[in-house]
Amino acid sequence: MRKGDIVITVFVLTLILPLFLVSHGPFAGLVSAEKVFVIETDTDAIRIESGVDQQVTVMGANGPAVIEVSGHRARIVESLCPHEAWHQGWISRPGEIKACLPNRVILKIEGSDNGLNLDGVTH
Amino acid sequence: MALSKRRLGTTSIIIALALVASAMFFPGSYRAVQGRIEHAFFRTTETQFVAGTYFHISATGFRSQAAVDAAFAEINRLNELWDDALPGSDVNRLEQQAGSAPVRVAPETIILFKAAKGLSDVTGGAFDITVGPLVSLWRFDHEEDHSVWEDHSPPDQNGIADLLASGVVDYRQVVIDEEARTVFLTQEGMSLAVGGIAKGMMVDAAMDILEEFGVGSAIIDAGGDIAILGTKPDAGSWRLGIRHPRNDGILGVIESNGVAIATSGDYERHFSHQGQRYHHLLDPVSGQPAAELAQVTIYIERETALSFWPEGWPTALADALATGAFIMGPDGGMELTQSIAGVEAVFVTTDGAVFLSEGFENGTVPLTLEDPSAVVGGWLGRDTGDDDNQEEGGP
Repeated sequence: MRKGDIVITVFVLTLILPLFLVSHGPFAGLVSAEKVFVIETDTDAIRIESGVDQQVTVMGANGPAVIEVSGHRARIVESLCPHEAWHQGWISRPGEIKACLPNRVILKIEGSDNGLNLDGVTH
Repeated sequence: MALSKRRLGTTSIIIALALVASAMFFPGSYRAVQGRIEHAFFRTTETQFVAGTYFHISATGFRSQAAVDAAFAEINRLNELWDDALPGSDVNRLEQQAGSAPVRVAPETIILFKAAKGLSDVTGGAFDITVGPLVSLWRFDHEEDHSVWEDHSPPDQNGIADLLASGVVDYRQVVIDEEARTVFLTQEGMSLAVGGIAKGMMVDAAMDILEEFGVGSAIIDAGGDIAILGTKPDAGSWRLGIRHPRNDGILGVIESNGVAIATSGDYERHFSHQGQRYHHLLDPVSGQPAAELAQVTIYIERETALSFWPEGWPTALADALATGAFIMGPDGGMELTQSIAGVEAVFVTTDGAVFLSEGFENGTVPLTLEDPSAVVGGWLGRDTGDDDNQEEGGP
């Protein structure tokens, strides 16, 4: 190979590399990130990595809401919702959502979870 | 520097080898790779609270941010027309003028009411946007009033009978004049509950805008009414879960593209009184919560909606059909959904039995149930008359 061929090869590889990174490398993580619990209110969006057990209190439209993350699942423990049935129960799969609408608090899961991912849940 | 013929040939071979290698190493096609790049760098995700629910949009494309902004602007504009609690909205003015005079409304409101009345005709009145007075009598319209929920009980049965006898719950009393662009609620005391179709229509309007902006892959989730555009960014199928009506889990997963899905369930707005569950899906004829089903999920291909309504609106159609079929019950509801090509349905009865439409039953539309043994019947088995088969059969 001449010097010019090497330059061209490097140039072509430079073009191809981003595709590989998006497909297999670190940028693939942008597409298929680890499972993350996301809490959204009118004013906040809090992201919590899966596997870190904790309780988080956020301020909804009408008052505080307590969200619990336990292992691979999460739930809205308390929120100023007229009827707890609206938001009670755990969610564990990416794509699942729990909401206390009157208090404008949403708990959802994003990211990837070994093929259990959902893009949305009709309810 | 000009390339010599020999170097040009070498370069071509290198590029060709690189392309072949990339095609071998990268999963899926170049469309998938392109989708992944767009998804990584040009994806916009946003959630807003509108119309008493959440709207979540995730769109992938080079103009996704502008598209999502425009989509939410349209959702909010339509909500300002159709929010009955908003003074000056079309629906608010219609209720104020009920029994008095026609009201001139926006073209979109004419479309909404025409679609709603059409669905009322198709469902034999099971879907009816004039159930507002009934909803109020059951106090399902005071969701944020804690005093209601702390002591929620069914209304007096005579009150229900009197209300129904007054004729205020009757979609035929909604008179539309397209030429004058007016709607008239002919009976004093009429009020509207348009949420069962308006939310879906907002989703469809938002999806149209995403398409206009060149977005090729998107999902909109409006409180569980879901519309999807195209394939996923990686060119795969979308995976849409159906909530289980009685536990935290998933009843099943549908894998598909270009569809709208909506669910009506007895668990969303309900209360228990003396051990009995009462929910908000009220039968306009009896005035009572529809009793037989716990959940109805409607799946409709976007193209199919065009054959039902010239303007499309697949999510509005799915939304309204889910409510109508729920109230009609498993037999009438399933018969209705199977009469519309491209519509599939999953019915769950209050005792947990699952019934599938033909496309789900024969696998034309991929549906994976978490518990296949829950399926006790389906459209394909309807003519057998074999009770044993109904109890033990299923796909």
